[in-house]
Amino acid sequence: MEEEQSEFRHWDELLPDVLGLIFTNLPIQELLTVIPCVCKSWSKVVTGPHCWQYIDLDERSCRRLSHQLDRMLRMLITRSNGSLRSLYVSGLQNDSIFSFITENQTNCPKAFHSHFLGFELHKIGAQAIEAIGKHCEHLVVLCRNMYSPDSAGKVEPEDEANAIASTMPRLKQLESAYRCISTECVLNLLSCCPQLVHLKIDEFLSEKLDRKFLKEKYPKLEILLLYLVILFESDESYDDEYLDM
Amino acid sequence: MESTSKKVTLSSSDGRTFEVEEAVAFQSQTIKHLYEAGCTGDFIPVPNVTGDILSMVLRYCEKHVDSDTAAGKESFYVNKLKGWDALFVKVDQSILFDLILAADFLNIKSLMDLTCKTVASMMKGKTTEEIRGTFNIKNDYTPEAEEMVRRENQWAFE
Repeated sequence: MEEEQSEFRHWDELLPDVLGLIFTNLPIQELLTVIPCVCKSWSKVVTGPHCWQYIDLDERSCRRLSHQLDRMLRMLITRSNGSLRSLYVSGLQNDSIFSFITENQTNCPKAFHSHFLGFELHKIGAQAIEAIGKHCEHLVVLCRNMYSPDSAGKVEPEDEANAIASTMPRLKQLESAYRCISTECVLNLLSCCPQLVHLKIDEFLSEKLDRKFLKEKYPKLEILLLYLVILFESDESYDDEYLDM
Repeated sequence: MESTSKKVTLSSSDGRTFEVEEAVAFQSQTIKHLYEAGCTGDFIPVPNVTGDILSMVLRYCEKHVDSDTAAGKESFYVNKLKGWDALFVKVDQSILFDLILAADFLNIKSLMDLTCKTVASMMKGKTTEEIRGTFNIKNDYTPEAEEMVRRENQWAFE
């Protein structure tokens, strides 16, 4: 490293989008607390949209943030300034963030290209799904792996699947754990989302699903089964064990 | 690769020329677009990249030319290539910097990812002061301003 003095480069003067590409490889804590202190130009990049097109809060960060998660997401989504393309988050307590996302996106039409939205959430209703679908019309992947103590194991009214069917026509991949899903439901989805080819569903809750029939009717469709252990006990045990699956 | 495949000639900022197979050069979206736009004279100019760096970039492209094919996706080749990549970016910081600029200008996504990841790994786990030292960056904050920035996002991680 001694010889770098003679040949040193201006790392603080790199283009913001290039710095953004470098910084997004860092853990979020370092990105938010260490990098901005290095110099003004780096701080500007972290405050701007270049670092926040793909917001991926891994489960550990989500758990650590827990009570601050909503505030954190609002800050990052604001920073993304409408350029959000992908969001992965788990452990949200309510669905208010989705109206925030969609409001944020309304102001910045460019961001309608959000093509991936993965989230895990305790409670989210058909309304929230509809809101997301309406504002992210290019959505192609939806991972809806939410465990909710009051709905697990029950046959759900199918308004959620219908909301997906009616608002996300470009969907290619749908992942839905902890929900029962019926054959009619899948047929409705397939007729509304012609590009849907990857379907991941819950092994235990979808016993009634006529996979053979679907396979014959839609040979391109790939149905994957999720083997998840459902914990009906206290919330604490849920946090640790379920997340390791 | 059969020797009959078409070749293109690239010329670096310092006037060196490189003759490479189309498939190698076209990993650069910039060159591909220039070529498709009819820039097909004797050579394609690469004005922002020196000969030394361009020869490195082309070496990378030659190595990665098969990575999109089915054979290239087999785990044996993927792992071998990963090892090669790791050695490829074991270079001085200034060269790494120039490779990033070249990958950005030439629009070679995989090289961009590789070099950016490498730089990030040089920052990971370091303090602000250590990062400034590693990358030779001058602290342009007043002590008060730096303290303010330091405290700004601390709330989330307490």
